[in-house]
Amino acid sequence: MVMFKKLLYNPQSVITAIIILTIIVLGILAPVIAPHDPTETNVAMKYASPSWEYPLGTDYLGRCTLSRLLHGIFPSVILVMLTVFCVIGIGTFIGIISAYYGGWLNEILMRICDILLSFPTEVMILAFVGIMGLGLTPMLIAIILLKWPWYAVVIRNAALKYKEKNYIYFSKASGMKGPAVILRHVLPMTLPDIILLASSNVSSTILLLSGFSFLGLGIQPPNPEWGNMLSEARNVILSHPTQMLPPGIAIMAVCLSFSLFGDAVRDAMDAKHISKGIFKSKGGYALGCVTGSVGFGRFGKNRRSLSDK
Amino acid sequence: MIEICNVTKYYKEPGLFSGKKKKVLDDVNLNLDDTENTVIIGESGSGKSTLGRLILGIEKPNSGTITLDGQSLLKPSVRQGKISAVFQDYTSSINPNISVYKAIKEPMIMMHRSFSEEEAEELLVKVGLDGSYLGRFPHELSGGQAQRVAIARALSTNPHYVLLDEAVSSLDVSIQVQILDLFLKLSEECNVNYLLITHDIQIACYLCSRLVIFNSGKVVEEIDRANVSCLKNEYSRNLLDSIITI
Repeated sequence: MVMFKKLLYNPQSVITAIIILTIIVLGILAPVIAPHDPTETNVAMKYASPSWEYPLGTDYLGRCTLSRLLHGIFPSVILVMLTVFCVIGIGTFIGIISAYYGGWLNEILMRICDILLSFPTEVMILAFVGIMGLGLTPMLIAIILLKWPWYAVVIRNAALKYKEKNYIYFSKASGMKGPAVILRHVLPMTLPDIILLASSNVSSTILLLSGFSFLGLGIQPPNPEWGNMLSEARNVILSHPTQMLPPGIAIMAVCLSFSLFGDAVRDAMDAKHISKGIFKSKGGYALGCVTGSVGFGRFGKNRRSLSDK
Repeated sequence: MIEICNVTKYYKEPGLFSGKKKKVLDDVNLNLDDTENTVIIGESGSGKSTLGRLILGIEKPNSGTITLDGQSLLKPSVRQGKISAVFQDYTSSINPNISVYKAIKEPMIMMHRSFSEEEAEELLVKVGLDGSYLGRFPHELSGGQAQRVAIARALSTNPHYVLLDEAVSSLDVSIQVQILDLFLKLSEECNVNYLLITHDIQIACYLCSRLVIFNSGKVVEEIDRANVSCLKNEYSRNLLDSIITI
């Protein structure tokens, strides 16, 4: 509840959440609200300026840019979010299991990660797409298969910080079993790291997918996708530079929103940010002297030393 | 009674194929009575905290057995409600994301027992706090308050034994005395025995009637507090002599 209250009173989280939710809703409702069929061509209207009929104009085949932009949300954002959910889910499971149980299980899982991480992701995705064929599905499967080890390693390192904490020891001593300790303590403690990773990963995966579509390896025309739209607009960048704006701004807005929302959620989940007091102190330390900071508990000795760092 | 029989513990060095092992406990035999407070004392790295973790069931011994009234302490059901612990680092004793009430309630959840806020408040009063602390989070507590909450949590199941692993070492000197007095008071009120792990012989003598001196993973001497001046082992005598006098 405290976390939700903090998110609710933080303009950064509210604005970015509204943007993300709006985009998702628009993506789901695209078949209903889009003014035109995104693949319907009208050569007589190519490169039309914004009008009531075509609110964002048309492209080189006279297709409605707004309709393509709306239909492009599903592959560009919603499918990417699902992909990232899978990647983070696998990475979290492997990373936390590896950190918590340690021993040979950790060694085996981390060596598998090392092997998979030794291949450059983009090159492996290209190889995977080469074997499986062009399209969105092979690309998303390749991203899931090749990206989870990176997250497993990062989440394992985050979870390792908490493994040796006294509250974990106490839970074990109280008879709590491994899965219960993980669900009650380790997972909630690593959640801020996971959310931060997820938010930045959504952005990077959107950019990765858009990049591959831009190169013609992702979603194939005439299906709409933001990277695809950018690629098509690139051909007329000098004659019709405004063609780049709708997909470019959309990609930038979504990536920025996810990153900023992730930052806000991470801050909200960190209990230490619920601090009430404002600490002010004066005084300095002399070189060559050992200075002691003496006082009762809650007098601020530790904060003083932290503020001096 | 907790019986520790021929317990040996070693740690493997990291690496899948690493065969190197470091022995931390070497054939330890010890009986911990349920009539007196016992202290395990020794210098850093002597293996006393490892022994504490084995007693709490956090780790398993490589050989030997640790039993409570004849039953292996490795079984969670044997430990539940009978043994509890208070650790040194109060900053990590309580999960920073949960409130004091939830922290105190945690051992009861494991035992599938209900635990009301009133019961939690009673425990807090026992340890010198009050009900206003129930909704607080660990970062809103001072070191002494956090340690008192940890003590309340340890006592929530009415355990027979409470393991105090350097439980006062990181507190202010004035708070140390308050907490030690609190331990003594609770020992009588709640009929609980302490197993104190420390390297501070003054704290050891203040709280416990029996001293077990540890060195390099072995018990080198066991002695009653009354006879502390008659130590036979040279290491034990050196340890006693090393008390800093201000």
